[in-house]
Amino acid sequence: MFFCIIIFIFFSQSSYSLSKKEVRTFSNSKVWNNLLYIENDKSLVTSDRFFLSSSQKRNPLIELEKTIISFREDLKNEDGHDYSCVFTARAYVLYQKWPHEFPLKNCKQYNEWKERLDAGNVFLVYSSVYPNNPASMFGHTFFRVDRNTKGSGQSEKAILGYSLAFQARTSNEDNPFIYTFKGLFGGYPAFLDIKPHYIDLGVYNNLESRDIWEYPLAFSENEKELFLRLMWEMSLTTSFDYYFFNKNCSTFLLKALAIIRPDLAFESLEDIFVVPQETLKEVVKKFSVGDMSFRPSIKRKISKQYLSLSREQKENFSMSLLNLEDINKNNDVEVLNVLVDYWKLKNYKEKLALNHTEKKLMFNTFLQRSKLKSQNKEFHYDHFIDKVRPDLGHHLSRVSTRFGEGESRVSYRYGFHDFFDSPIGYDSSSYIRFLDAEVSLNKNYIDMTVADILSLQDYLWHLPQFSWRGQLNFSKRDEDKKGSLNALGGVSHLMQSSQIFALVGTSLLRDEKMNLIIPIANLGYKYEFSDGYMIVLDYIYSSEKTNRNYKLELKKTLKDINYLITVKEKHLSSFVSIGAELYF
Amino acid sequence: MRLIIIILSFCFSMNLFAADGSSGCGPGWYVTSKNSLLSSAIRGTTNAILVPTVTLGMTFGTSKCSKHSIVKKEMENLKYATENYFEIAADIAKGDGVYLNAYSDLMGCKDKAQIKFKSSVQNKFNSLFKNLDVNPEHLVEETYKIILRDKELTQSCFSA
Repeated sequence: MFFCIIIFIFFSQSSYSLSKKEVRTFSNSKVWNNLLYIENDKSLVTSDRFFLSSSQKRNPLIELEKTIISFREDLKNEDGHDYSCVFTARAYVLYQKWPHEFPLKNCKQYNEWKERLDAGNVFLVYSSVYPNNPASMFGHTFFRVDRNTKGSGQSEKAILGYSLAFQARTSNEDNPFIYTFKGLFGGYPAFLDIKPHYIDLGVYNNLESRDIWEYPLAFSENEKELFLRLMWEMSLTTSFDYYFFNKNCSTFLLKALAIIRPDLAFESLEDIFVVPQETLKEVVKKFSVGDMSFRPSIKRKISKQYLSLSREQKENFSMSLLNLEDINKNNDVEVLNVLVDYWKLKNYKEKLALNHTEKKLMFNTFLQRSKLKSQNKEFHYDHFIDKVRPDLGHHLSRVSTRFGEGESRVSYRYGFHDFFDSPIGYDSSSYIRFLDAEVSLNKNYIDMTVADILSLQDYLWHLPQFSWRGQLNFSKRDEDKKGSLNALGGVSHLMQSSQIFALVGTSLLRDEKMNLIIPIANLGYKYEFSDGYMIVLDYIYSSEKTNRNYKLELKKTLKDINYLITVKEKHLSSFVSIGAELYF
Repeated sequence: MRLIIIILSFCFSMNLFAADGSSGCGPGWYVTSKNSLLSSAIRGTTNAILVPTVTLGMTFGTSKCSKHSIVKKEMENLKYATENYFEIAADIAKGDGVYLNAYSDLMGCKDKAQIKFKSSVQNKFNSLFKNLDVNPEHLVEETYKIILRDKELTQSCFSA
């Protein structure tokens, strides 16, 4: 009997043992390399605790061998935890590959964490662009999980769920220059940050007034288990160097998805700038996602409600905004609802430091509204969603060609979305043009915009928000070279089919003869006709004649191509042309 | 029932007399100081692994009540009330809203009980939010009083 048992164990072990070839082959596999975040033969992970092999001898094969030994021999880390319960994603991948060799362990801490996380569906969340902050200028992506057992509806499940985001750990002591420098050159470590989703909603929706777009990721049960294990493993072991441009929140999010589906190759990771919206579009295209949902920012909600009021209601709003007596006798639910949201926003903006009178007005508004039992009017954003949903946006870069007046010009713009672009898929509050060069093929003319950031905040009488623009431009016409740095501020207004802005500011103008600081004014207007036709004007007036310029364009916009007639003047030289633009 | 009320009242009063007198949950996102240039997308983070533990365990941390099962259940409610104080206030004023629904869910009031819960807290806005001074403990305590004083709500919300 004893002999039989020995024989059985021997055969059992030998039949399950792995050959060196198998191990070597797996160490070269995509799934294993993705798990180690290998890029150009080197792991992106900077934390030592992520590796079981020593830093002198580190490669996917050695790391796999060390992992296998650690798991088989039940080795523990310095905190006394089994490696297989720390590296839960590795354990799951090895289990899927060799289930008999690496059965899953019962990991108490992981199971408790998973139970507390109580994860339902997994979502990819996109928080819209925030031009007032360099690091959020291009949006932000992160994961979120629904709460499985709490929350009576989808929105409640979302609010009570958790966000899982890759974020840099910055220091509040760093001044903006150090912050920018470190951000650009990998001076901050990035970690996986897990927190209740309502905190993110508070920050993005309310504090920064950004729209939130959510796309459910269609994970299988196995994929979801791997996802959760990966989040646990990353939160315990993994940190990266964070670079604003190409190793940012979206980079690591895609890296995580590439572990879950190793066959997927994300092209946006190859770009010199990993743009959150571009990564979102790629995930939507390559990953099966369900119905997108939208959570408007607090400003958008207020604006929508306010614009739906009648003239009398708006007058009522104005009076109740400033007068306690008017509030206390106000019985208009629609007006009071806008007032409640208005005070909420003002309170957030003031960081809860409203003065005594404002605080009293706010409390009385809330109290007066609570006395009325009427149902709230529902507001829908279907038209806005159909037009602005970020997965519909045009591609990042653009080439164009123009012909006219015996001259041909070609231009290339690296990114992203300017006032003249097709509005589909983009919010009308932010326009960023980056590395845009135009060259004449017949004449000595080069125009280069390094950056042009236009932030247009819709100005409402009771919600005064200001718009601004910053531009850095160089140009050469014949032998005349110029450089200009413009800074402007002002107001803008968005209507159903049009948008207008008026800004004033200064221009630092430099050419070969002089340096000048001069006042400038900027007027912009856009009208969108039906079927993708639109007319757009951007006019800059300067006291220095050679610094005046404008561009007027009539165009037909399609998803990835535009046809246009352009009238443009720069350096007192006009150019009337027809042309086409292609996004790629 | 009286036992529950006594335990809750005791626990809440213990918390109100906590040494620093501030919320047991720490400040909400709306008062967290941050570098003006610092993005929320890259803001300094906490150790991720702690977060679910902290989320569920940071409230009532110094209170002797922290081990009581009823109080343990309420930790998440208080954290939620702290971080969403003005959202809840606005929804209660309006009598409806997703933040109020989620608050009701955390209180255990679902389906029909949720409708009654929302109406009841709207009626008591003044006692829930004294001048809108941030006081989540008071909000949660008063909310429980509203539920406990209503037989139907007590049965529905505490049945699970």
